[in-house]
Amino acid sequence: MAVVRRVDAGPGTPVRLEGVCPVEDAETLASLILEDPSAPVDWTACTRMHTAVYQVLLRLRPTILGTSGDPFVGRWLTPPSPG
Amino acid sequence: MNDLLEQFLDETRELVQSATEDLLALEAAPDDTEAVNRVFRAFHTLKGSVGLFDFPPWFSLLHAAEDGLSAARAGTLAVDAALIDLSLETLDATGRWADAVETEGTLPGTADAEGSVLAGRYRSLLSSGPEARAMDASALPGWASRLAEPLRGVEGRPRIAVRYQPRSDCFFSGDDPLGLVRKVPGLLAVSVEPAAPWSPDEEFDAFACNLAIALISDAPRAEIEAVFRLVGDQVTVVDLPTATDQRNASGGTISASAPAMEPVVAAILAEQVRVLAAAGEAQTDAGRLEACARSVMNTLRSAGRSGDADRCGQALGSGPDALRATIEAILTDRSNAASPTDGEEDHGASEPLGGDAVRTLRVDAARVDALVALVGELVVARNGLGYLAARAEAGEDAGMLARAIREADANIGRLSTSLHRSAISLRLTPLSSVFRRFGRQVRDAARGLGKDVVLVVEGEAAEADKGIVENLFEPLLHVVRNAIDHGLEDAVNRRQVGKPEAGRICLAAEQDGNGIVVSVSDDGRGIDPAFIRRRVVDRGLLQPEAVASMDDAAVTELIFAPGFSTAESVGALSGRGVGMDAVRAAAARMGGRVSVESRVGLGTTIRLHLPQTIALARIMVVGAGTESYGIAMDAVVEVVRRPRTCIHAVAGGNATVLRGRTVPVFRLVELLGRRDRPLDGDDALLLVVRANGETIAVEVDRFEDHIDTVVRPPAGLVGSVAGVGGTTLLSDGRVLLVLDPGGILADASVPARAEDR
Amino acid sequence: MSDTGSLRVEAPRVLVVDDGALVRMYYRGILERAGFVVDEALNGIEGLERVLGATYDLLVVDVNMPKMDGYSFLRAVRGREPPIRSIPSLMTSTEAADGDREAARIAGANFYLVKPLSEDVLVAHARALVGSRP
Repeated sequence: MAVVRRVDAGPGTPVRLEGVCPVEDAETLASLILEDPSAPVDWTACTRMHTAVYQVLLRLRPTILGTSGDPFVGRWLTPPSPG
Repeated sequence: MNDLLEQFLDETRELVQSATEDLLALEAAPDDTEAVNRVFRAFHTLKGSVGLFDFPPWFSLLHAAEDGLSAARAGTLAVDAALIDLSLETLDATGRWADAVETEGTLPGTADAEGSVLAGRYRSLLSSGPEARAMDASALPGWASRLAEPLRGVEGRPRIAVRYQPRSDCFFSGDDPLGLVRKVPGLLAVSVEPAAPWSPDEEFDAFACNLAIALISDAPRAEIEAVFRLVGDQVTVVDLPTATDQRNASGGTISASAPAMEPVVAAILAEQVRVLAAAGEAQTDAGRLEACARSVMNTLRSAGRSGDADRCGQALGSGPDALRATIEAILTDRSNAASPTDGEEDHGASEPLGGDAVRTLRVDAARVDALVALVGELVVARNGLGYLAARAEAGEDAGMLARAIREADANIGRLSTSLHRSAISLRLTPLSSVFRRFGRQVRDAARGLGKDVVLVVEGEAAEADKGIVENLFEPLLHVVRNAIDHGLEDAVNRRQVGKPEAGRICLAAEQDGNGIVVSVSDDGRGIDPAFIRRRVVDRGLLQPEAVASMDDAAVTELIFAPGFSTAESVGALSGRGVGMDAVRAAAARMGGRVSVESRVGLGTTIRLHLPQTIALARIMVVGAGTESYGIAMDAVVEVVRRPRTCIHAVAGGNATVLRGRTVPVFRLVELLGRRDRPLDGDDALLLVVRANGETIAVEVDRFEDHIDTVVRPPAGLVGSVAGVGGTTLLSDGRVLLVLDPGGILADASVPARAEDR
Repeated sequence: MSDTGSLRVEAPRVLVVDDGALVRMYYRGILERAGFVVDEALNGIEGLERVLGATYDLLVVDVNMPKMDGYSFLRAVRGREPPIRSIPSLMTSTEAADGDREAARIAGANFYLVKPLSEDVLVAHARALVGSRP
C-alpha cells in the first residue's frame, strides 16, 4: 500500500503514514525525517505499523500529529515525544 | 501461625538491626564490599520472610530495595548517601511495620503510600544508574516493577511480566516484534524502550532492531509463552507477585475456556511434558522419567482420574516420548473430564493473631544443656530420698539416718541453688542488643543538631536479665540525646576550648558485683553546680539554705529530682536536664538507681546502676495491723526498738535521732493509707531503710519472718498500687505484697525530707 | 469420583529441604495441617541422608542452599535406585526467570513454585503430587 509520502514539497510539511506501513517503510520514513527534522509526522491514517517504523519514530522523535490509526499503537504505546 | 509470626518478627528486628549497622559502616567506608553483601543478604532474607505473609506493600518495598542493593553489590549502583539513607528509611519503615503487625495484626494504613514512595525512590536510583538495564534475570527486575507500578493495588488475576528484546537482525528474518505483542492476550501494559543507547543520527540503521519491549498480562503464562515460542531465547518471563496471584499461579497451561480439569492438575501435567522435554543427563534420565510418571499418575488419581493414570502407567513402559504423548493427549482431551472436583480449601482469612503476643527468649544452647544436666542431678538426688525412706522403714538408727538426711538436704539445696542460678542465666542477654541500636540514634540526633559525634561503645558483652536489657533502651536514649543536645558544645565552641571538633559519647557497661553499671559519658561542657543551685531555688524545689549546705556532687544529683526540668527547652547553659527524673524512675522500676558525675568543661557521666538478674531476694516479712508485707532486706539497714518518747514531731512529720543523725519516722500503716489506728505499746519497732539515697525509719507492728524468694513484678490490680514493688508467694500459698520503700516515699513531700538533711 | 480404590490411606510423608528456618516452619505448619507428616533438612547433603533413610512421598526443595543446592540434591536423588529416584518433587525459589525453571526441569523437579507460596497453592500441589484427594 501507499505508505509514507510527502504531500507536497515545502519544508515543515507533515509526513503522512497511511494504511499498513510495512518494514520497508522504516528506511523511507527515517530518511524523510532526517532530511527535514522540522517536519511533523501524521500517523492518524496508519492502520497498522511495523515495529521498525515505530522504532524510527522512537529514535528520531519527530513531532507526532494526532492519535495513531493503528489501534494497538494508539492503545498501548505512547507517542514518542519530540526531542 | 502465631509461632511463625513471632519468629518472623524476632528475625525481622534482628535483620533490621544488623543491616542498620552495616549501612552505618558503609557510610564511613563505602568500599566495604563485604558490608554491601551483608546488607543485600539482610534485605533478601527480609523480603523472603515478609513474603510468607500477606503484606503486599511491604513485600514490594523490600523487593525494590533488594533490586537496588543487588545493583550496588554488582557495582552498577553507587553506594552513596542517597542509597544508604533510603535503605535506612526502608529499615525504619520495616521496623515500624513489624511493630504494627505485632500490636495491630496488620500494616499501618499508610504503609501502602509510604512503601510505594520508597520503592519509587529505589527505582529512580536504579534508572539513573549507569547500567540500569543490565539486570534482567533477578527475581523481580527493575523493568518489571517499573511497568507493574501503575497496576499495583488493582485486583485481578495473576500477572505475568515479559521482557522481549528482539535480536538486532530480527527485521531481516521477517519478524515484527510488536506484531507478536499484539497477539498477547490479557495485555495490561506495554512499554517500548531502546535496548541500548542509540547510535548517533547519521549512523542510525532503520533495519537494526534496538528495542526492549516489556509487557504485563493477566493471561495464563502458557498462553503468553505460546505467543513467544519462536523467539523464546529473546524473552524473559516473570510472575509478578501480587496479593492475589497465589491462588491461581499455577494455572498456567489452561485457557480461560478450558473445562473441567482443575488448573493445578493441568499445570502439573503440562509441567511433566516440559520436564520430559528438557535436556537431561544420562544418569538421571531414568529417575526423571519415573518421577514424572509418578507425579502425573498421583496427580490424576488425586483428581479422580484413575483411568488416565493407568494410561500413563502403561505409557511409561514405552519410554519418555510415549509418556509425553499420553500426557499431552490427556491434556487436550478435556471433554472426557471427570466431574469437576471442588479443590478449594476453606482457607479463609489468615488466622487471627490472638491477644497479647507471646514473649520469646533466645537462649544459648549450652545454657540449656547445663540446665538439663542439673535437672538430671536433681532427679538422682531425689531417688536418694526414696532410699533413705526405705532405710527409715527398715528401722535404721535415728542418728545415722539424721546425718544421711542432712547430707541429702545439703545436696539438694546445692543443686536447687545451681538450678536457680542456671535458670536465671537463661534470661541473661548481652547489652550489645541494646547498645547496637545507638549507632543509628546517635547519628540521627547528631545530624539533626548539626553536630559531629563519635560514638564509642565499651563492654557490650556484659549481660543482664532480658527484662532489664529490654527496658534499658528508652532511658538510655534519653540520656544519650541529652548528652548530644545539651552536653556537647557545638564545633565552634569546642575549637575555642581546644577540644576536637567531633564530640565523643561513650556508652559503656560493666559488671559491678551482682549488678551492672551502664554509663553514658560525654566530653562536653559538664554541669555547672552554680546553675543547678540557682535553678533548684528558682523552681522552689529546695530552700536556699538547704541548697547552700549541699556539696557540689549532691547538687549535681538534683538533675534527677522530679520537677527540676520541664518539657520546655532548658537552654544551652543547663548542660543537662530534660526529663532526667524519668530516667531515674525507669532505673528504679528495674530495681536500680542513677548517679551523675560531672566536671565543668570536661564532661559528664550518667550511670545507671542496675541489678543483673531478677534473682532470689531476701525478704523480711513484717506485720502492720492484721496484714503482712514483705520488704527487701537489701533496703533494710537495721532494725531497732526505740521508746516512743524518743520520736518527736517535726515539721512535716516525725523524726528520731539514730547514731547522731536525725531520721524521719513513718508508720507503715499510715504509709499504706490507714491513719485511724492508735499507737500502742511504749516502744516502737523501727525498720531503718535506705531508699533513694535517704535514710528513714519505718515503724512496723511486728517482725514475722525472713524468706528468700523470687519477687515477681506487680501485675494486675496490684500493679497500680503505689509503693508495691512486687509480689511473692508465701509457703502457705498466700500472696505477699513486697513493698518498694522508694515508691512509698515518692508520696512524701520533698521539702520535708530536704529539711532533714 | 468413581474410583477411590487407589487413594492413599496412610499419611503422606514429605521432606522439606530448605535452609530458611522460618520457611521450614511455615511449610511444616501448612503441611501438617493438611495431613502430611513432615521432616526437615537444612541443605542438600542433609536432605540426601534423610531420603536414604526413610520413605518419602514428596520432596519440597529450595534452590539456594549452602553446601548442596536444590539442583544438585535433586540430581543426586534422580540418580539413585528406584523407588527413591522417582519421588515427586516440588522446587521452590524466589527466582521466576525461565532459565531457573528450565534448570529445575533438567534437575528433575516435577513442579516449580515461585516463593512466596500461599498455603492453598502449596497444599494443592503437594496433595496432587502425592495422589491425595484435594
